[in-house]
Amino acid sequence: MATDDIPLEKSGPSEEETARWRDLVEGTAATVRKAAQSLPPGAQMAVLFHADDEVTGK
Amino acid sequence: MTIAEASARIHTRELTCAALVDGCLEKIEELNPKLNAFITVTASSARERARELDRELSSGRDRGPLHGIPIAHKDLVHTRGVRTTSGSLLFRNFVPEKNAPVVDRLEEAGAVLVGKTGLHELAYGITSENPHFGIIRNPHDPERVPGGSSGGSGVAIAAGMALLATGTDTGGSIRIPASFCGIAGIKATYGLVDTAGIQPLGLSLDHCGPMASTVPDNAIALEVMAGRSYTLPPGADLSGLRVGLPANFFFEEVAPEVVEAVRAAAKRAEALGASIHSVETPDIEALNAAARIILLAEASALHRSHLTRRELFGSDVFALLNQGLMVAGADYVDAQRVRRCITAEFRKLFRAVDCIFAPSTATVAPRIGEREILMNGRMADVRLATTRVARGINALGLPALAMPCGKNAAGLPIGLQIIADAYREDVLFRTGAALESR
Repeated sequence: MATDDIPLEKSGPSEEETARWRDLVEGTAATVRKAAQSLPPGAQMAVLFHADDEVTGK
Repeated sequence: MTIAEASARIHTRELTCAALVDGCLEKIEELNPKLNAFITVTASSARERARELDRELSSGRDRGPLHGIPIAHKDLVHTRGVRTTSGSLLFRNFVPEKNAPVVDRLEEAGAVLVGKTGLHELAYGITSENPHFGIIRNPHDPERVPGGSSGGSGVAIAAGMALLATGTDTGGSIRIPASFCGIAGIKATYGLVDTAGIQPLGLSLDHCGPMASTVPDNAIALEVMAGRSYTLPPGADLSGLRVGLPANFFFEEVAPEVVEAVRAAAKRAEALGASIHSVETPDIEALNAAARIILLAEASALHRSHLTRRELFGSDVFALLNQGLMVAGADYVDAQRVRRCITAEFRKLFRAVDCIFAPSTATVAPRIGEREILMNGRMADVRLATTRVARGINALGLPALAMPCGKNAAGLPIGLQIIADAYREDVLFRTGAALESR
């Protein structure tokens, strides 16, 4: 069977898988939320440096 | 043979590019059926290119230290006219129309493509047990994994199938296979090596870098890949170098043999003139969690349109891509905020030290199929244990060099990770080359 013919509803995750994965994500997210609670007020998102960045690069 | 040795012999005409490339192709023919490092071998075009480069040298055109050096590109780096699968059924027939810029740079410098190396599916994993293109095996023990995701590149170098390889590193994917295969590899500062034309995984975490048998070979390659100059001082003098040894996290939940080898490397650095300083790193557990949330979300954003076709994915990658769809936007934002604060804190360490020594991986290479390993008396998930000391450095964007620092009782390589401040790859090369010379 060509992959394009695979019925979408049969190839999704099962309820059991979904529940297990949600638990895994929730566990990691909880660590992040806890860390975020102790960030200084106004803490911003990450800004990455690049090699062509005027400040940090060449 | 190292790149430096081969290049010297090519330039004194003791060795031709054609003979060097032939030697690697013979190794590939001999060992690839057993180790499965390569998905595609470009023998015919490699031989033709090597002969061209020999003619160039004879006519006075010298492209530099990579002139005639056999290179293997990880099979997610776009190579014009050569299939680039990303280790995935999604791209099994993809033939790029142009090279990634980093491939152009290396080609212009005279590197000769001998083939495309296998990887963990979509670079999303650390074992290189690929369900579509086969399991890649560790040359030190074929019943063990080579690490990943740049597993084929690590094996190609360790087994002498190429002198130089490219790797990518989103959560340890250069450093882990370098560690498990007993070679050197560097994840340069985020953005230093152009990642255009390379299949992305985590857009704010992806790094590209070289893998080779020695630290100086990595310096030679990164000069070309990044367009920078790294002059290694002669001798093995580390006088004035301040090495930080973490008092927290990096030696916890790490196999005792690894702890011992990394601490011994610090002792060697001290014997070469470096001073050793205990440092307290910021919260790496939180940084790792932030990096995992960021990667889950970014990888799924790239691949979610394919997720309705389960048959196209290995079960581990399918699970991770689905988990990424479950990450709340607010958690992604918090992860990026945590990342920024911890990065600022971590970089303050470099006021007191020039580099930090840590393990590249918490263990030696696990066995194929092993999902849990015994770690200091309790079972630990292989993926989490293996990426524990590597993943956070991707979130920091800082350069990190992985290099061998001994073997365990079974003869399996142990990896040292040296981390420096942004754009201080020169510190990593100086330190690593000095340690290697002992």
